[in-house]
Amino acid sequence: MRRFGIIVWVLFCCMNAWSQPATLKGVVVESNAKGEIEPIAGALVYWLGQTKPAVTDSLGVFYIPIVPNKNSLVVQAMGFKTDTILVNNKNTLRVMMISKRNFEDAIVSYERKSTEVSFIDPWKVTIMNEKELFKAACCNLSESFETNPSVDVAFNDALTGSKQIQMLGLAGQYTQMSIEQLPGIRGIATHYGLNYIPGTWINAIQVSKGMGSVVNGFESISGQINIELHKPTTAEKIYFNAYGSQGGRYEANLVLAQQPTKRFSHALFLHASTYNLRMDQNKDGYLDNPIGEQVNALYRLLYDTKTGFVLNASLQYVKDKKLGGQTNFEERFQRDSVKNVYGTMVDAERLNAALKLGYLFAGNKFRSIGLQLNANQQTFHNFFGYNTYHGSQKSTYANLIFQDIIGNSNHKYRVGLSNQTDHLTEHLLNQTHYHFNRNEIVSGAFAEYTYTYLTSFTAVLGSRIDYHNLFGWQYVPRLHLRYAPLASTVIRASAGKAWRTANLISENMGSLISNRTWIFRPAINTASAYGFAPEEAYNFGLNLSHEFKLNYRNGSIGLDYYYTLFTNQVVADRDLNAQQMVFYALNGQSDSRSFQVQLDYQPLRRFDLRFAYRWYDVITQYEQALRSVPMIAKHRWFLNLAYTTKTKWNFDITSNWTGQKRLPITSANPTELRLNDYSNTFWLWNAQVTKSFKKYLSVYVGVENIFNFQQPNAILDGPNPFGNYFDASFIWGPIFGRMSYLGLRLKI
Amino acid sequence: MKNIVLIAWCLCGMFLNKEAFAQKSKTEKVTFKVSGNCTQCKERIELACDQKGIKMAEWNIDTKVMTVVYNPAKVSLEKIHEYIAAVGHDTELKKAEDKVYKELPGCCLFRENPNTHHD
Repeated sequence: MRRFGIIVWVLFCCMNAWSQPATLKGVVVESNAKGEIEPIAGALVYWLGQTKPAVTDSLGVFYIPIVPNKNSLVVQAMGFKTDTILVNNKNTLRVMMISKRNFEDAIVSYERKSTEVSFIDPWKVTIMNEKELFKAACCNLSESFETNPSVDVAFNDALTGSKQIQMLGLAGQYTQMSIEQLPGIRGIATHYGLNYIPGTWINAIQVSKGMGSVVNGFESISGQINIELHKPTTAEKIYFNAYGSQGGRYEANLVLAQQPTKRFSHALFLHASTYNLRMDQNKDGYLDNPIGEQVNALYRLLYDTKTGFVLNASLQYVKDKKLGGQTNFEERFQRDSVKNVYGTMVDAERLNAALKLGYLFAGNKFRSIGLQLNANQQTFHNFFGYNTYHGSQKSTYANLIFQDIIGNSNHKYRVGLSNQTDHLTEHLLNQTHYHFNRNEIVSGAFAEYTYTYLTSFTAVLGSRIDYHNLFGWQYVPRLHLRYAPLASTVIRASAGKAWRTANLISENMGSLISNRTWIFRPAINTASAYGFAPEEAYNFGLNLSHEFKLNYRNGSIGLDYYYTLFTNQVVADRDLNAQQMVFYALNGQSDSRSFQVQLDYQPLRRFDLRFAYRWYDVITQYEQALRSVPMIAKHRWFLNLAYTTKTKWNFDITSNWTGQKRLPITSANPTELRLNDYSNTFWLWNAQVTKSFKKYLSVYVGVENIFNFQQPNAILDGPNPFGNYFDASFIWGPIFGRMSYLGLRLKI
Repeated sequence: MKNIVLIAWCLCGMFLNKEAFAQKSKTEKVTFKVSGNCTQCKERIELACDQKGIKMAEWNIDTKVMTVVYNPAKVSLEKIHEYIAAVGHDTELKKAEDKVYKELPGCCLFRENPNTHHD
């Protein structure tokens, strides 16, 4: 249950022995738009079950005779929510603050939709809550987006089973992934990091396209995804989830939450999963999914002094090891100097510590100061045939934010300082051996001003300036506008700049599962990131959200268009030569256009329909020509149907139609080892049935890829993994065919 | 690009025509008072109206006013009152049985504790 904003403060105790009969004295106050406390005159105060009220005076003060056996005091005031307060010590002077029945409360009383688009935020944020996440029962973050048309999820390669997200047609590294607003999956973890957050741990995911707030950094180019984990204060005491699939994937998740005192609460998150079946459904001699295990544990605590000071801390450890390759591959084969069996291994370890401190100034709820700290260590020991990669990244992050209002809450601002350090060591043993060592220290300052005019207009002007030890000063301006001509219609526009350092090896790790020779063609000759300057882009977006009621049922429609323009980029060219992976600095045009339309409607009671279409046009100037970026589908159609019966049976069907994707050029290969220019189009259908028993238990069973579509020739020249033409990175569709699964969720 | 314009056009048409859709149905809209306290009550009352012939049912916590859109050919108004009373809430026409009422959670006991909420 949400707190409705009733705060009962004990100011001081005083014996009121002088008044006979015993009288309770109190004050009724509200907090106004400026965050100041003001008395409420004319409020009615009476004991529950009695009718004779006391009325507050112009200072909000009331006196009410104490009635034996009555301890529930009702407070009623015009325009406020009527409230009942339990009075235990009848001699104390109490101050009561009752809040206006505000907009948020009104929302709570509606049936909560599984996906909501905030109408108030200046940026369009799609919030996917647990109800939505349950639609795709499996398993980690990358699979959570199956029901969200804004995010495309694609396999990185045919062997490691890792997936990557795309927003606005740009690869995953251009999306800023945060966990509770702290740096989440970034740097060398980008490629596999989505596997490190089990779906069961997630409370909600916030997805927004385009530029985000400058407060959260300079890195987001195509969008932000923020993951909120279960809170120790609101989570169930015990939450257990088990999952097993026909593909030999077994998972167990356990979330334990406890609130021993009013101020202190903590939670422990545990996850273990294993793949132990050597499956080869497409009979190509390679495992469809890697085999291996993951253990993952997170502990978090929350301390709230109730006097404005809040502390939030967490510690996470992940160990993930997966072996893939030819069906008979064993790890010991890798020690042979002349290899006969092709195998891959991804061995990752991650340690993360986070601390958030917040202080809310007493008497002004709009003034607060927050400090966010994060430290992260990520290591990889990977091999892909003869290619070996060892990487380690140590990162720290500190962000200090002060927020306040100027005069009233129509003018808000946030200012702060940040520091981010990354220490990377990478060893890539390809035909050439590369050793990269890089230290990045970025210190910056930011300011953001928000102007609100009633509920109809908001403007957010943000800018930040950062000093990078290798690249010097970087300036980032951003602007967000929101205009709501009607209560049901919102138009938003955004523009801004972002920049980031590319992590070329980890972002293109899928291409190591081939016999390509990696070539870096540095444009500038410094000790910078692989010899390249940071990537820099501008993003412009326009979107419209409209809610409507048709035939007494709610619906919404969303349209958006985004344009991203790179002014600096490191181009990864796989077209130049099918046996090479060449990196060079962008010389010319590189941009992305994206359009999406989404319709949500409830045609029948308890029956939800979501329909979407999205269109991408992503082009880059390669050395040879201006081409569309490979492995990106221009068109995608999306349909999700969800039906719940009165007896709590849930039926979900998700369908995706993915259009053609351009494949990297292989025309110089021998005829039988050439790929088509474009991939096939395909449909993918998933279905799930969930039955909830009371509020404690739900059991789900589902089928992924119902019509058993599998990408033909997922691996080029699979029979000769050590030959010149072998390549497992041309992956555009599902590798695994029809697969059924079964799971349960238990909440106590 | 042509496709996009076409789709956008169709979708716009769809909700601009909503009046036409709404006019077709042979439904009636009624409002009446229902006793209750909190969001739990709201959920319970509205769920009780999840019945054949009832198109929409919404209860307002503040005003206690219930708005129901229903098809009189499929369900009678009296029956709707019965559905609500059957889950423990008193309506203008029908009082809930004491036995059912007493089973409600503490915060929902509107006869003893009208309009309270606990957070």
